[in-house]
Amino acid sequence: VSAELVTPYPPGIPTVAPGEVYNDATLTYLQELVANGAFVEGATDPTLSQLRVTA
Amino acid sequence: MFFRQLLNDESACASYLLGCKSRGQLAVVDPHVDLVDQYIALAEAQGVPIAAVFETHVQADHVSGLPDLVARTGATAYLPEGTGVDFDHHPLADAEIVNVGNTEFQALATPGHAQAHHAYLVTDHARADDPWMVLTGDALLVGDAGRPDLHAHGDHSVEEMARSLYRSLTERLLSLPDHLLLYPAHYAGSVCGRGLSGHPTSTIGFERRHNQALKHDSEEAFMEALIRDIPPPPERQAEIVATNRAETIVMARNGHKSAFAGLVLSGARPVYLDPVYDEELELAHVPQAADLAAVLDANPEAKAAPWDG
Repeated sequence: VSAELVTPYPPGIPTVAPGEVYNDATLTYLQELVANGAFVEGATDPTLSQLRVTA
Repeated sequence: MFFRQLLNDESACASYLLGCKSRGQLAVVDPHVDLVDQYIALAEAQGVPIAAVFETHVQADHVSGLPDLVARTGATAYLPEGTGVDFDHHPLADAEIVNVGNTEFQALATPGHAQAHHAYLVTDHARADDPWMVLTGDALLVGDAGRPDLHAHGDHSVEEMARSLYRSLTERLLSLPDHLLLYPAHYAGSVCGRGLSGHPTSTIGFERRHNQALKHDSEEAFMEALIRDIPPPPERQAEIVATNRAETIVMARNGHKSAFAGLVLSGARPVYLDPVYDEELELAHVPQAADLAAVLDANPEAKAAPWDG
């Protein structure tokens, strides 16, 4: 369960909001974006090698 | 009777845990969100459950502990009628009585600080059938009257609220006997009054004699003095009020992150409207009317913000 508002920017639409559950699709999508040089806002670790979660 | 005043010095808020040990029921009045553990621990130490939680009004300066306290204890929430909050509660009419064991709470409509504001007249029937104390909320504080501007809006101008407060004080609270103990919702350090005493307890008689705000001989003079030198409003006032009303907002899930930031700031709870993704056009369509209707049916308390689509 995410504790962060993880938002690829642009366009600025959060992929995962606090309280939402990560699944394989969201993780793969975010990792692909970062691997291709996209900027992901709101994550404590912008490389997404670590994610802040509540559970 | 059991009685404890619990203070939060950061916001200078006074709250109360009181009730009846012999009949085994306690009530909390004006709970502060940071003190919920303490109310519960104190009640548990007495071996008496919290059966009722009262608000004198929807607070604008601090987040209430009521929803958390009700969720954790199963107590009934009591608020003045007309608060507009979005959670289950018993709306109290003027003069309505709630008995918590042998301890009686009688609502005393005292609008002016907020339009929906009750003081609670407390009688300990184990001792006497006369009221012993009055919990005055933000209507009458120790050393001042409540500020009239925080809940003023629309038809209820600051001047109108001040006039309303004058009538609440003179016709309701000051009609009470002098010996009644007075317990306010705030004390020195609070933005809710000027020149408040650091002693969060008084009597009706002492305030009648020495409270500067009660020294005016007309509604006009009281109003003019009360709206002069109003302290700055509490920081984050709008968000605190939204949180205390527990508002639920329908929001498109594919909105901009700024909308999510707005949720955090306002304390509102979202219910999401999922976008319809069009595989062929590779884009998300605007929210559909039928989906909105379904979400509103499932969440009747939710408010839907208009949008351009």
